[in-house]
Amino acid sequence: MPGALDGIKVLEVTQIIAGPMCGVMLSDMGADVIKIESAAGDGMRLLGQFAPHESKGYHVFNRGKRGMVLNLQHPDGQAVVHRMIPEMDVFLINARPGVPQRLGIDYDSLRSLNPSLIYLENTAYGPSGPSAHRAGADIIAQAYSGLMAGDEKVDEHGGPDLITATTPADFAAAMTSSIAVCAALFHRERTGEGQKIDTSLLAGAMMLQNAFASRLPVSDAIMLQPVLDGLAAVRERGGSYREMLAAKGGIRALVGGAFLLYYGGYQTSDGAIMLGCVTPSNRNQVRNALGLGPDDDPTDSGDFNAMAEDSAEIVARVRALISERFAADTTENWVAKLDQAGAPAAQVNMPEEMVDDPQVRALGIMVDLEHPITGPETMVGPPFDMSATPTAARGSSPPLDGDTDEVLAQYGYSAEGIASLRASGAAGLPAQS
Amino acid sequence: MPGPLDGIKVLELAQIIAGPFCGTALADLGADVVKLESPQGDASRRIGQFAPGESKAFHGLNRGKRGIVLDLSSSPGQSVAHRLIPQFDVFVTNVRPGVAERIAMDYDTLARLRPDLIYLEVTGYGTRGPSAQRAGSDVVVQAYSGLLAGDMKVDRRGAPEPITASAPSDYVAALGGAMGVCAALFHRQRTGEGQRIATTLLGAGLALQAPWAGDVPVSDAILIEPLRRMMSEMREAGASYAELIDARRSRPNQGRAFRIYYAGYPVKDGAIILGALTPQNRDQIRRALGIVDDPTDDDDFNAIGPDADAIVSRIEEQIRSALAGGTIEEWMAKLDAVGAPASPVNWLEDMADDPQVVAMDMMPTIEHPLTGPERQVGPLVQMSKSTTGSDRSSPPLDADTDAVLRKHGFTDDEIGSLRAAGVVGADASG
Repeated sequence: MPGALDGIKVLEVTQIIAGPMCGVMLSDMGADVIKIESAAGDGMRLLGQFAPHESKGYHVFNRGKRGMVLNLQHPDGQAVVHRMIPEMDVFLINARPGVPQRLGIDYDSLRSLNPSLIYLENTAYGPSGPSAHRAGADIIAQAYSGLMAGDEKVDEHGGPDLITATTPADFAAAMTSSIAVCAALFHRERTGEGQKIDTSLLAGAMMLQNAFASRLPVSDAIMLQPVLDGLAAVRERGGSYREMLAAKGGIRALVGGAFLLYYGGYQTSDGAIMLGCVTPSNRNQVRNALGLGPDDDPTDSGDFNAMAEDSAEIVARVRALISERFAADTTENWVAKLDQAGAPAAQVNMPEEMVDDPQVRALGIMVDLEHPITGPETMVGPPFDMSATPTAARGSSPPLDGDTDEVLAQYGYSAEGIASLRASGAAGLPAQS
Repeated sequence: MPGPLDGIKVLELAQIIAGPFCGTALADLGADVVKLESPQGDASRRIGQFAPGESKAFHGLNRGKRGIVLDLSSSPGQSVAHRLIPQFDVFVTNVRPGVAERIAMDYDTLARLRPDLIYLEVTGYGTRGPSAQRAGSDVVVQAYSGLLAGDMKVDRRGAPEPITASAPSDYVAALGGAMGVCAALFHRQRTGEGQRIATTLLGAGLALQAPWAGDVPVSDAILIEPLRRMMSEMREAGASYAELIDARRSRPNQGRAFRIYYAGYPVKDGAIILGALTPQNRDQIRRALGIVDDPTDDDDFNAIGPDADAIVSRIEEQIRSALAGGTIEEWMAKLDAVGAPASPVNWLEDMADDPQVVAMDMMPTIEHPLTGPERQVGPLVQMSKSTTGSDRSSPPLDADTDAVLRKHGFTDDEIGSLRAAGVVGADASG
C-alpha cells in the first residue's frame, strides 16, 4: 500500500534538525523528498563525522530523501530551483529570515511560478518581532523559552546545563511543520489553494511548556506569584543562577512535593527505577506494592494540606520511607511487582542500548537500512503507524551530491545541460573533490 | 478565514497530555473537537487544581474544545456514544490497550458505525510486544526509552531525575498523532477511505533520540561500542545509577571542542547560553569575547590527540572567565552585534510578557466561563490562507453535554432520563 502522501513532491533547502526532520516525516508518509545542499553540505554532515561528509545525525535526519548539490548563490543554480518548482507541491526552508529573499527562493518568488505551492518557513524566533533576525539553534530556544531553567540542571561551575537527551525545540518545530504541511495539503485538496506556513523554534519550545506557561490570574495569585516574588528577590540582591533556581525549586517542591513522591526516580539495590503516577489510583497501586498503609503516607487523604507548614516535613518522611523500600530489592523485582499491581513504572535504560530492546523490536520502531557509502545501519523509523496508508522509512540518507544528475534529468535537463551546470559550479561538487 | 480543518468533527476520549494535546492541535487547525469525559473528569483537572475540577494544566491542554460527560462503563452510555459516532470524522483516544474493546469504543466497533472514520490511538508501549499491557506515562517512558539517562540528571540521593521542563514523549506522541490525522484526512479526501492510526510514547521517546538510538556499525565501532562495553562491565561490577551516569558523562568525547561553544555559562546576573553550530558561529563568539588563540577550528587540530583535552579546557576557561565579568545585557548586546547565536537563560514564569512572544502573539488571551481571562500558548503554526488558533477555553466539566446531545438528535426528554440514570452528566452530588 502506498503512503498517505504518495505522489506528493517536496523540495527542501534545510539543514541541521528542524527542517530536515520535517522532510523525513513527510517521506515516511510517502512523499518524494528532494534535498538541496550547497557543495559544503548540510552542517549536520560534519557533526560526529565518521566518514567524509557522513555522520550518524545526518543519516537519521535525512533518510528516505534524494540529494542534490546546487549553488544557490549562482543565478544558474537559482534557475534550476525555479525550473523545478512548478512540479513541486511543497517547499521547506529553515534559513535565517532574509536569506530566502537573497537567494531568490522566497515565498513570493516561488509562488509566482506555482500558485498552489505550500511553502513552509521555519525560523528561530518567527518572522517578525524584536528578535526575528537573531541567530538561533535548539539550545538558544531552550534557553530563551524557559525550557532550560525549567529543567533545573546546573553544572559544576554554577552555569546552566542544557537538556542533553534530545533537541526539544528542533523536534517540536519539525513536527508542527509536518502537521501544518499535511493540513495545508488537505486544504489544497478541498479548495485548490496553496499557502505560506510559518513555524519557529520559539513557538515549538513554548508549546512544550503550555501546561505551565500560561497566565491565569485566579490560579497565579496562589501558585505563580510566590515564584515570581522569589525570583525578583534573588535578582534584587544580585543572586546567582543557582540561587534563582533554588528559589524557584523550593516553591515548586512545596506545591508539587506530594505529587513528585510518586512521579520521580528512586535507587534500587542494583540501579534505578522511575515511577510515573498521575492519578490517586496509580499511587495506591504503588503503595500496595511497597507495603505502605494510610498511616505511612497521608498525602492522598482528604485532609492533607500541601500548603500547610508541616507538609514539607511529611513529604520528606514519606520519601525516606519509599527510598528505603526500593533500596532493599533489585530493579527487576520491583518492576515485576509494580507491573503486577498495574502501576506505571520502568527501569532506567541507556539510549545506546535501546536498539536491541524487545519491546522496540516487537513494535518495529527501529528499521534496517543500507547506505550506499557506509553500509548497513539500524535507526529509529516513523513515529506512528497507519492502517490504510502505512508509514515507512523509504531509504537511507543521500551521499553528498548523490542524486544531482538523476534529479536534473528527471526535471528535463539534458546531459549537456547538466554538464554545463557542473562546469560553471552551479550544480554538483567542485571537480577536484 | 476558516482553519484548514474547518468542518471536521473530532470526538476525543483521552486524558492527561498525549491524547488531549492532540485534540488541541486539531482544534487549533479549525476542527470542532468534543471531549468525552467520565463523571470524574480527566485526571489532569486535579493536577495543580485551583478551583474545583479546574487546573492550569487542564486549561492549557484542552482549550478550544466542548466537553461532554458520559459513563462509558455502562451499556446505555456506550449506546449514546455509538449514536454520536456516525457524525464524527475523527476519534482520538489514549486509553490503555484492551480498554477500548471493553467499553466498545475499539476501532472495529466504531468503523462499523462510520466506515470512513479516522481512529487515532495513543498508547505507552504499543499494542503488541512484551510491554504492551504495562502502564505508561511520560516519565516512565522517559526512563524506558533512554531519554532520562540521556539527560544525565541525578538527585542528591543518587536517584534519576526526569526532564522537568516538559513531558517530551507525551508531546511528541500528541504531535505525531495530529500529523497522522491530517495526513489521513488528506488521504480520505483523495480516496474516501478512513483508517486506524497508532502512535506510542515509546516510539516518540526514541524518535527524539534518533541520532543516538540507532546503529551505524561503521561509526559505532569507534564511538558507541566502547561505551556499551564500559556500561555493561560497570553494571556487572554492581555500579550505581549515579556512577553509570558519571562514567557516561566523562567518557572520551571528540565533540568536546564543539560543546564549549554550545553550552551555558554563568554571568554576573544570571546565565547565558551559546549555541554555535558552525565554525562561522564560533568565530563570531570569539570576536565578541576577545578570544584570539583558539586552535580548535584549525584544519590541523586533532580532536582525539593527546593534548586536545588540555587545549579545550584552556579555551573553555577563557570563555568562562570572560563571560563571568559582564551582565546579561552587556554580553547579549555584544553577541547580537556580531550575529552570534546566544540567549539569556529566561524563566518560563516571565515569558508571557517577553517582547518577542508578545510581538509574535504566541500567547493570546482567552476567556474561561468559570475562571475568567487567561493567557495561553497559542496555535502551533501560522498559515497564510487558514486561520489557526481558537477563542474557546477548556470546557468546565459537563459544560456542553446537553448542547452536544441535542445537536445530535437527542430530545430533552431523552437527555433528562439519561441524566437521571447517571449515563450522562457529572454526579448530581458533585
